[in-house]
Amino acid sequence: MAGPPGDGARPLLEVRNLRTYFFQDEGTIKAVDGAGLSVHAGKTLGIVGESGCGKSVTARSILRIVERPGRVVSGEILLRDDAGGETDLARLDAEGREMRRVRGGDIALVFQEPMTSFSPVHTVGSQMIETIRLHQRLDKKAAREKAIEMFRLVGIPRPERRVDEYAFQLSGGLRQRAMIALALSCAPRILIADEPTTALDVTTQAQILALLARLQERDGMAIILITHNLGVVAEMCDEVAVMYLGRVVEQGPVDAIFHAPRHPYTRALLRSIPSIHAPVRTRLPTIAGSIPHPYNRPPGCPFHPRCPDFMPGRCDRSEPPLLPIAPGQHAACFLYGDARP
Amino acid sequence: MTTPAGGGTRLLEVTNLRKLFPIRRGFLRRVVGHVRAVDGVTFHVQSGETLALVGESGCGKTTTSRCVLRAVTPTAGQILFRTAEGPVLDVATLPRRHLRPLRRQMQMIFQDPFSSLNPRRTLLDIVAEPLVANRVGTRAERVERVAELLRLVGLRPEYMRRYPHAFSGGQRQRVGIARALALNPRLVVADEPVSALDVSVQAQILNLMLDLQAQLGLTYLFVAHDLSVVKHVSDRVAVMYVGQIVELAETEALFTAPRHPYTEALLSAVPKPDPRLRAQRIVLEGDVADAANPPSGCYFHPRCAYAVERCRIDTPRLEPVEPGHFVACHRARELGLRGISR
Amino acid sequence: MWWRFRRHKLAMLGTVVVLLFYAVVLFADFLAYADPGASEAQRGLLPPQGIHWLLDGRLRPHVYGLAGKRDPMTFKRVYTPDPSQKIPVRFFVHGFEYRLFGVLPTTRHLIGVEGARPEDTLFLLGTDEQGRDLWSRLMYGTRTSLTIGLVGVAFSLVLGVMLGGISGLYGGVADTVIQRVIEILRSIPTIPLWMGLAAALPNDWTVMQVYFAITIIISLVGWTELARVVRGRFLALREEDFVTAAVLAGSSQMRIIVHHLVPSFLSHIIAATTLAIPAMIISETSLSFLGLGLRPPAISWGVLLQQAQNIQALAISPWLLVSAVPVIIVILALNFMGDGLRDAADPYGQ
Repeated sequence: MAGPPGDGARPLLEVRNLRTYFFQDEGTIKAVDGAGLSVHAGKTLGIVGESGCGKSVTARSILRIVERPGRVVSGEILLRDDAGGETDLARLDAEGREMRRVRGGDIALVFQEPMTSFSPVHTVGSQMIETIRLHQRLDKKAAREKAIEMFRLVGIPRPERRVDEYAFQLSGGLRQRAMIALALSCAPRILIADEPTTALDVTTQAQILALLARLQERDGMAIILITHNLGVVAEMCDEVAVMYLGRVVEQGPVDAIFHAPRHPYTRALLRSIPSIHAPVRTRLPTIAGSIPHPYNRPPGCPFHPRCPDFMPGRCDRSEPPLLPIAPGQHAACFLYGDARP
Repeated sequence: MTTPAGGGTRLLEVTNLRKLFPIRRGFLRRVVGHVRAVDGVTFHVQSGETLALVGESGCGKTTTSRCVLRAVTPTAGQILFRTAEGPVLDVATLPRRHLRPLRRQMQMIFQDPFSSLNPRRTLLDIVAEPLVANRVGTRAERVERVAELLRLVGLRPEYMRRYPHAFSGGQRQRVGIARALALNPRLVVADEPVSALDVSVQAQILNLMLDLQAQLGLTYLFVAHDLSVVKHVSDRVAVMYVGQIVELAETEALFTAPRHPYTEALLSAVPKPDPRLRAQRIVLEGDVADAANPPSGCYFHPRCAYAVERCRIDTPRLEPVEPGHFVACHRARELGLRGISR
Repeated sequence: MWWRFRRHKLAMLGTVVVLLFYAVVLFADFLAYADPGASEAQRGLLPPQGIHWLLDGRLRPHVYGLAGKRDPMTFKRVYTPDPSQKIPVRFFVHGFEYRLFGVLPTTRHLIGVEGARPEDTLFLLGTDEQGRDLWSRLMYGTRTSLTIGLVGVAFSLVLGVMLGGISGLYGGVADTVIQRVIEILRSIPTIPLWMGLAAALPNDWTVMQVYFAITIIISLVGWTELARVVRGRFLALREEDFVTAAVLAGSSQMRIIVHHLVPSFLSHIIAATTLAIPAMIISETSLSFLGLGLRPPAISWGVLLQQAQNIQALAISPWLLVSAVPVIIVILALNFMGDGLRDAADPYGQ
């Protein structure tokens, strides 16, 4: 079983053995190939990884909005409600009524580029009012009041005027705030933020991260934060899952990931990031080679061609399963034993 | 490594550089105002050092670097470049036909490794382009030179007949670096050379740039928004805000003891990759000022926690507070600001 | 690009059809079996003669002779096939003399009735009012109409690339002027514009002179679309980093245009050009149909269709409309081909 359990309480969302493939004429891209995750209420799970690791596709799979020719091939996406009931989102009809109720109702999504998520011909307010009324029984006036209230909540100055503006009239930071307000307008239990600050400047990024932390404290929602920036992960997350070529290679509490990383990829990644604490003008340790193209995925452990601890005959033969190695920490690496002989 | 800031000759000296972009409106395209992209910037670059220009989007760092290369013609100001042959030329006012010999000595590394390489040309064509354009060597000599350049940047010369789409982002960026080095330039302007790359590849390219500098005695003008990256490559750093330099100092001094409130906020805002350092961040309110309509006095005063009445009225000038440490802030000497501790 | 194009089945089909049509252009004299100008009032408005392939169970292509009778009620000549007269049809026969590709003198034709009596004739698609063979005329008309499309597009291409290039490359005043000219040209309804221009052509011009004049008139409007495509590509490419890189490498403007800009939009130009040809053909056909374009003795699809203007003639001799068929086929084929090329050149465009 791929999904490592958290401490005690059952996770709000649990993804097991998720596989999402893209079937193209040139071949099949295994964008997500056996990923497992779990998220607890009120906590933040960070999914980190470089391009092509499948972190965004994982998020889209959870919401069942993978674009064709992509498809969730197998696995379970278990969403639990307060009463203890379970829904497997992987089995629902992606366009069906139940799934539509989950999207925007239970789980909301914040994109990297807020500009493209707003219609250019409608005011941000009208789009929010529409969303609110889609999920809640409110008349136009009440919905507008609610939109203004949400804008105020996410720290947009003069919200009464901003609701009547178009997305292009807002700055990047304000657009992202509006996007968050839109996502939160129906009080979701899980917020998936896909690279929410990547397109923003550092000072604006700091504002948005602070906002997300404040809103989580207030509403107790779970956040899945998808990013390539390890700094953002260290600042924001409780749990971290590190992905490489469609697989979760390590998952654990944030402190363990940063201070006791076990998987060679996590270790190498942490060493190779430029740090503001480093001495001036220093060379960085690097990871040899580059990320393989998803068409020619290496056999066995996907990281083995770049791994300093590569064991010939083992790592290139079979894929290591994600196994517990310390309390709450899991790694998929043969260095820490092997379930199969 | 040591910082060779002192001693060297000044390769580049930029004085009071201005670039205004007109805002046109209406049917007759009348000019109704100007965006002050670069608004009176003064700095110099020593031979053999790396000067970083940092700041947030729209601060004018990219426009400044394009002016230095004269890819953009500045509105006013001086850009003195010391040529290899000796004479000092003003790039800002040089007639276009005299630019070509100068361009052999200043080259550029681009941000986007995808759009900066023509997809229809082989690596050989791409890297040899500056040689062909300047009529350097015979065809056989050029092939030899390209092979040498590819080896220099860590690519196999056998690849030279392939097209860029066969390569990853990091490898493409190496090709871009090889092209920039083809004519043995003295100054290399690197515009966000690693920000489009994956984390694990960033380190490879930064190391390559450091090695090449040591090996070839290059001078870098390094444009970046990521302060962590800047710390790994630069000797001195200039922080820009709305078209102006607000602080310029040696890297160590700027990071450990910033003297401008904006630098302090910028350093504090960088997410640190260590959960035990979840510091009390300084979160700046509001947005970056509009370069078409900047505030009065100090452009930063509406967002500054330390602003006093004077900041709203007087525009501070970039002045030395210590040798080699320049700050544009009225309160630079009285404030005790927090930097990055080791 | 070729690879993406080949997956576009309709476009491939279109390409084959277009190639066949242009083969007709090259071999029009060979495919025709009668002099398109030879008329004989006696044979006016003959119906098409179908080829019968088998005779006594053996492959012996032949047509039936026609027996003419005058209808006593309408006084019109009515022709009926006479199965007793079997006129053999042969391949690669000798006929009227022509020059293949304009150089090689020869008398060979694909089919014909060789060595037969003068009254034994072949009219695959029937004849017109003046007794001229429609099939042969159609072959020659294809040559005229399709080359007018090509020559017109060539004119448009030169104008469009030049003016669009200037517009996109230099911008500023030149760009504004050219763009306004394009807008004005495009806002004038084309038919009245052509009518005005065609009416200005002197009556005593030779067929060739009229042909070129018409081509130029048609391409006057056609170039605007191409100019827009070229300008748009120039504007987009000018911002690409690799163009800046070439400038910084010290490359001359000419070198940048030839080595970087043109190869990058060549495929777009080819696609736009292909899509422009049908418009040209339609323009020629409609002008000639209205009697404003080519005039007899020139033969083109439009000229042939002009004879079908008379409803009465059409009711009795519907085969006069036959030249509308190739117009429809070739225009559909060119459009499919152009769409395929455009999709292949720019898979993310509209």
